[in-house]
Amino acid sequence: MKYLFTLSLFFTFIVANAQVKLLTLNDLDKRLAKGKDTTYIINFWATWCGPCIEELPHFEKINKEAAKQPIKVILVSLDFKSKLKTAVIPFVVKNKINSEVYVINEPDQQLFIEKVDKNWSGAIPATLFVNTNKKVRQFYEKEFSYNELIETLEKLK
Amino acid sequence: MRSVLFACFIMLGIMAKAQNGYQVGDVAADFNLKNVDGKNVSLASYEKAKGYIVVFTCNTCPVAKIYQDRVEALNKTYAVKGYPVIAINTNDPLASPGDSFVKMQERAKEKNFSYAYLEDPNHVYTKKYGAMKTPHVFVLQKTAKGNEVAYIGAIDNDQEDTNASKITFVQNAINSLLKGEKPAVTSTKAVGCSIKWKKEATSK
Amino acid sequence: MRKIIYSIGLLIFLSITANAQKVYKVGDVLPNIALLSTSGSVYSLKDQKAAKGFIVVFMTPTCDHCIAYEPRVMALDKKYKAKGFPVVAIGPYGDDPIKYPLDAMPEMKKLAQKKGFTFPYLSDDGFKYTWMMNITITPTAVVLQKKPNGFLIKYIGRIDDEQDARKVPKNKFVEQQVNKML
Repeated sequence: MKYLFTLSLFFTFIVANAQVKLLTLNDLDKRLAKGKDTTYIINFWATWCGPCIEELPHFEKINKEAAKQPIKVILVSLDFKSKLKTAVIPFVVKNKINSEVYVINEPDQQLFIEKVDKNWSGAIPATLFVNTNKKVRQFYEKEFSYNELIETLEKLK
Repeated sequence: MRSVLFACFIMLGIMAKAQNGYQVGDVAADFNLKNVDGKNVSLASYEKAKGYIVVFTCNTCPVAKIYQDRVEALNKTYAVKGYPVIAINTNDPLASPGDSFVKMQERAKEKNFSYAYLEDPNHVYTKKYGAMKTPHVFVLQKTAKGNEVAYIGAIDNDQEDTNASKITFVQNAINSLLKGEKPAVTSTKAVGCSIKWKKEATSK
Repeated sequence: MRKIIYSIGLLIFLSITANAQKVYKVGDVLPNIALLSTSGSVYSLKDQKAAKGFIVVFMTPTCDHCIAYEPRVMALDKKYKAKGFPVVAIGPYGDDPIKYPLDAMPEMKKLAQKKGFTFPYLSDDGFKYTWMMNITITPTAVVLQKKPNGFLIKYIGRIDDEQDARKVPKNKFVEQQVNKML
């Protein structure tokens, strides 16, 4: 029994390791451009951000419920790159996060904040909704409740 | 009717400013806050200062922690040139027990801070200045008007301190001020954890 | 022999320091709460022989939601004191009137008198119980049940799920917890 538990934990860790990678904004843009009719919900968070962690379950729920629809949640962490293995991956494993998780890989915080949205103060949580075909790019510097996420998605349809 | 609308706009403008804190060019209020050594400190305490590097920071935020040594270095470099660092922690002990006054004293001792580390327990000056994150820097310059805000924002553009060609915003700003010039970059985005305000239970 | 004494000493030392930092959760047994009340005397849970448990509420004189919940806290005391579960309020910032002029004992006293609190309003001591029960927001309620060895923590959380005093809560969490024990 203990053997099976250790094995499943090990397997989850492998999967999480595979799941959490570094991501440049260029990589993100390319990814968004590829999924033409997909609505991407890109949530900016960090393991040290309390309000971010509180709202993660809402994003996980949406990601699970929308599995068969063209809706994809991408969680982009602003944790330090050096904390990928020591903080982000353990967090993802412990909380059984299923959505795609990345750690932002941009050397200049001022530049990347500006690139994501000109009006972003850099505060998290913040969420970006993108749909290439519908020419949608909406940025929200705020916390989202589950209902607010649903409402925002409805308005994008 | 028009005068009512006009009055409303003025009110909104005043409220917006009050909510957002200082902008570059504003005269900063002096404070009288308790330092980790138990004594009160204000801007006026530094009689010979030409200005100040006010850093809203804390014990617990990883971003604030990664900048600790750089804040120490700023004080070592610029205090003798007339720009001492004054660090202020406003994090509420309920929302963030690791930021209690006792913990602040421990950190100052452990890291041998050469600068004052003050507490702002009711967020009074934090709100006046408009600090929203840790770390959040306000460089002040003593002018005829008073302590004028000359720079607001981040210490540099390289959190993880790995880029040799990082832009050191605070250093650049002070170097300009020391030459009698205005800083080329007067404001950047403060990057870090949100301040741990006193929190109220909501039904969310 | 010396090794044994040293080890025992170390064990005692560790348990004391561990207790000083231990965070009590639902299911843990709290030894006691004894703090200075706005009445001027120390109020200790252990000394309340008639009580079967307590509804502890961490609240401040100034927090908007605390103010909004005051009538509900008073109503809880009215409903449950006679049934053996009185309210005990705790002001987290009570012991430092210089640092917290609006939330410390002097203002707590004024509030208790002004509103006619029927329950004790205690001042925490260096955030001891606030941190012990990981209270991060106000108001927060802690429901305790008296046990032979202390006070079993049955619930830590919101009083109910409706912060708007004009609306009716769907879930009165504290009442649900106390009713289970009646």
